[in-house]
Amino acid sequence: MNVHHDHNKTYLAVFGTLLILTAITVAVSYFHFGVFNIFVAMFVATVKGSLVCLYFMHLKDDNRVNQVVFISAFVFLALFIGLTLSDVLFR
Amino acid sequence: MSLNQITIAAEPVQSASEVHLRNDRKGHVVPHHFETATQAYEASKLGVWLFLVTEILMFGGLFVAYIVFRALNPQAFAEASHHLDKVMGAINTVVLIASSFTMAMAVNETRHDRVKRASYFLLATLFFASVFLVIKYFEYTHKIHAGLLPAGYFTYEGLSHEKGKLFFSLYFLMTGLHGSHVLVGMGLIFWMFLKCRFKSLSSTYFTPVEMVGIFWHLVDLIWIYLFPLLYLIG
Repeated sequence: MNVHHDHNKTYLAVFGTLLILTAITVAVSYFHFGVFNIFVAMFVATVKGSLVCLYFMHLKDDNRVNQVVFISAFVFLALFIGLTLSDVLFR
Repeated sequence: MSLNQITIAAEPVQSASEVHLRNDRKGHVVPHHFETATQAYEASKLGVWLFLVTEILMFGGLFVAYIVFRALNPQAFAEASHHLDKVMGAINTVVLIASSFTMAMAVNETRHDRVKRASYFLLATLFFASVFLVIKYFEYTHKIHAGLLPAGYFTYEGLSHEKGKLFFSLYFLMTGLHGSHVLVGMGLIFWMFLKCRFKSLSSTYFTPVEMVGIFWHLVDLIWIYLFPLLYLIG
């Protein structure tokens, strides 16, 4: 990453995108599509979260070790959720 | 990474004056167990990322509880969720995203030696964080008066599903833990504000403000998931 590179414009664009996505997720919640609602909400949240991680937290330009460390948290979280649900839902 | 590297000479440090070889012009000293300023910076950052992993797994426990109880009581959760104010939740989401933006700007300004502007962005971040907590205060007050409280304190009688009170236990635990992170973050941001005012941060040493920034963005990231899960599931 180049220290002398200014990120102001990138941050502004990410900020704008996050606001638009928030508006979309709130708007969608007023319509009832059944199970589809939660998938849209989680998809939009994940896109927003990824933008925050990649640009605001600089994970995009960070070194590989930090990227792997942070992503590992979500791998373990998925294991935690998956194994717990496999018990609760199928007992 | 093209940080100004302050390398130490191969010969051992002999006197107090030689220690200043490892200082940047604003007086920051690279700890003696690091070879270079870059190495110190990378080590700090890896430490913060590891800390964030533990944070995600701590909140993860609550998310798992939420997912399990919601999977078992979908109607009760949908009904209980209607007692949250979508508009207030949405305003708080916008406020927290704005605070993340000003925080990112503050880090960027510090990296370019514009510490005065950085301090203004930190003040703006503090302002947005306060707005978030004030809105949270109004939401909590409303729920406390209605008796929508966790576990045994739950006295509200307008829910048709008995398990609806589980939702409020999770609501208070999740937003409470998140809110305490906002408070801690505000303390750290104020500390960074002082560091900028006293000019102890610069383009050669901006580790603290960048680390606080990464933490603050995590607080935003968690809210990005809390908002739809708690407010938008009706």
